[in-house]
Amino acid sequence: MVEDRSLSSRVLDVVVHTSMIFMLVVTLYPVLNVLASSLSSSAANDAGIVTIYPIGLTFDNYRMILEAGKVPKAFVNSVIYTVVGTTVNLLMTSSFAYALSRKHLALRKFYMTVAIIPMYFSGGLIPTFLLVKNLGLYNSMWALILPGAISITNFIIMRTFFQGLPAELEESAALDGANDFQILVKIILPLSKAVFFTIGLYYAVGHWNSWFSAMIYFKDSSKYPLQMILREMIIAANSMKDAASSDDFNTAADIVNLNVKGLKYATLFISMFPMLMVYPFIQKHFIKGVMMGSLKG
Amino acid sequence: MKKRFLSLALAMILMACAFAGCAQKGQQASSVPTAAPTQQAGGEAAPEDKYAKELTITVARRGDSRAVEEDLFSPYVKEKFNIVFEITDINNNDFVTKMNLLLASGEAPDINLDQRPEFMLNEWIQAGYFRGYTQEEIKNLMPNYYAQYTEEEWKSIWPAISYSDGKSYYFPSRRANSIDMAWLYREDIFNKLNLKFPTTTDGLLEVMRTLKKETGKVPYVSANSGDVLWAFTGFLQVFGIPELAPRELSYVDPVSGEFVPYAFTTDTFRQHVIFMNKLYEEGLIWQEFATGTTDQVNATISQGNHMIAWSYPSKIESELNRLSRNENPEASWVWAKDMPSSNPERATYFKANPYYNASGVGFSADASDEVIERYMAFMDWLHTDEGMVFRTYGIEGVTYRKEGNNYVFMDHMTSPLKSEGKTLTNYGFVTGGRQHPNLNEYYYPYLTELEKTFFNRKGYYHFISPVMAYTDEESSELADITTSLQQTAREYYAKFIMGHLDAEDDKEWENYVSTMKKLGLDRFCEIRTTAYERSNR
Repeated sequence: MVEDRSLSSRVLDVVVHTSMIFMLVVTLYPVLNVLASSLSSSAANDAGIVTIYPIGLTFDNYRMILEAGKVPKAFVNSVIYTVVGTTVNLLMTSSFAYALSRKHLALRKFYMTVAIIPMYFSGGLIPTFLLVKNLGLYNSMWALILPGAISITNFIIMRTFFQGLPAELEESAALDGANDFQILVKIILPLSKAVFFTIGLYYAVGHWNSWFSAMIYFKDSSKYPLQMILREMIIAANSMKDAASSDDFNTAADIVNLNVKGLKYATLFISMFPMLMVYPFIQKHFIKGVMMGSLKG
Repeated sequence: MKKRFLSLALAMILMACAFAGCAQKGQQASSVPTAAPTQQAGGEAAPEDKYAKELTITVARRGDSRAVEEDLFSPYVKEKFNIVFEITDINNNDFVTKMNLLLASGEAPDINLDQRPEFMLNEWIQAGYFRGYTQEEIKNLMPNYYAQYTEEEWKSIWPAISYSDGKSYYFPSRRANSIDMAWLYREDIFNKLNLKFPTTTDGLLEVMRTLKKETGKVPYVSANSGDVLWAFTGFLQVFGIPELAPRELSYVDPVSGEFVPYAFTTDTFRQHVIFMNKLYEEGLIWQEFATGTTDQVNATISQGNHMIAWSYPSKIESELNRLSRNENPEASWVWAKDMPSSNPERATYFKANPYYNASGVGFSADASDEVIERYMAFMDWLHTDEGMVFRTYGIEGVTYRKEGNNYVFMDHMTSPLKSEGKTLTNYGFVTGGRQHPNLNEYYYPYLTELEKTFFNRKGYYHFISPVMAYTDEESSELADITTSLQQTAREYYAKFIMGHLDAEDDKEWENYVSTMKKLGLDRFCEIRTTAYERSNR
């Protein structure tokens, strides 16, 4: 490989590296700050002096979270919703995308039009709620999963990817006697790892970060995902005045007990951690998948 | 060809199903909000015959979801009333959104524990979602609940909580504290500088200047980024404007008896704004008062700022000492026995709470009579001495013990003196009902001291919220005008304090008032005055 040693190339290297270091700092700082705050003493957090390393190191916040019962339960709920939800999403999206990527499918354009309509027009909050309720999904995990089983944006990316696969592969498989299902499972899927990982990550992050559907569709708070609990804690942290002025001692005590900045950040870190851990392992596929989807789109 | 026909047939079936689904959904939606059967189940025999049938009652509760570690509440209530509660906790920020959804979809809980007039109650009543009761009906249905207020107190309470049809749709319990706010100050610094807590605005200005000069810190740190009109409510009161004016907007001057329909365009308010601008210009109040977050306020206090506060004495231990001691371990906050006033010869104002809480129980129109009757029996019991003890302290020997005439929380429990420990909600308790008076007597003796200090003190006055009953048309018109008025008042308030506009300049002040008039200030005042006169004839 020939190395370009010209001045312009070196300047470009400096600019690129400086930009990347800047991006790294901007991205990394909040994560380190959250981790440091979660491990810092209450006094240090109150004083707002925590930067990227803990001051007055303490693991009390994590201990309290694990003992409280609410966060571990919500964490397990989030894992279940994310795993089941992403599986359903990938199953539904890939089936739909594969079918519509096949040129010989009758009424392909019609189905495509039907699929695209919800991208522009939604049913609205109350009609959607009524539909979910009438389908018997209210207060059930499936209310978080089924209404969004296929994201049209992700479906289009996947369909574009499938369309880019050489038709000759399928023809040769068909000549060897494979049916449509066998072609999908044995030929198409092994070639589609990148797009599956990419879309899977999109879906997983979506499920992991979602709180609104849980707020709307759950009446039983023991089913809340982690993000919902985290949101409650952040709101509680901003309600000190209300808490202290509450006429009800027990309500006030509940809220004040929750209102520890370190506790809030510990929960925040727990909620970020799984996604941070997953990403490096699928980064390779993710970059490849995004490039393919975007180039062919 | 065959495949094409098959696909076409499938597409037609898909369309037919979609239309059929829409039609079915339309039929169901149109039934809202007619009665839906309440969840009920036959169950085991209850101790009393009238409660032989087990009832499941759905309850909406405003607040965070609570981790129940050991449920002591449910077995007790099941045993006594044969009720099984199903609780839906709705976060404060989501309360109106979720209640709207539940009400519109026919999923309304039987009981709303936190019915508040400002949470769209008018709209919900008009849509027929809640049951209303007359005063006489309440007296008969819940005699213990009724008896928590004297007949004299009911005379002022009923007009305040009832609507144009003469019924009330929410039933608040008696408030435990008659007075719970005061001016607080750093006693250690005041003693060191030989300062006395001021009783006039001039004195307040001088004290704040001295504090700033001697310590180099900001004497008053407060912020409200959500609604800046709440940032300096103690200073509003100093000028004879109620502390709750940002919520109530109208008030009656306790000295003259004059009704002021809108608090934020008066000459008194103008004087307040001029004073606040002076404090701002001299760096005596925190410069970030309009944008600061709770974390920023805490950090600023932790650096030694904040030596005077208008707040709850209950926050002295839980918050103020804790934060100030980050900078000085000797920091010590106390509450002031005096209040400052812009005109002490005329009056000094303090804040007294109304007799009743701001929210109360609401009964869903969809709930069955049986469910409502059973809940009312339970609610009535919560207002007996036994019920109040249960609801405030829990179970004897488990969550509290008796010491003489006092009820004392067990050591593993949170108490007003101890923030670590379990709360009754950890034991599954559903709040509601009235707090037992002994809690304040035993744990908050300063509340009695506050009462003694400020009530019936010569020259000291407190505001009583005016009773104003509106017609439906007036309510709806007011709601539209109020939003614009308040948005503009907030904007100008911040600009006047920060000196972007000069409140002392007649032209700029009149420009503000005329902007408010264009937004409907005159009509707002007319409606409020009419309602006030009609209700207080």
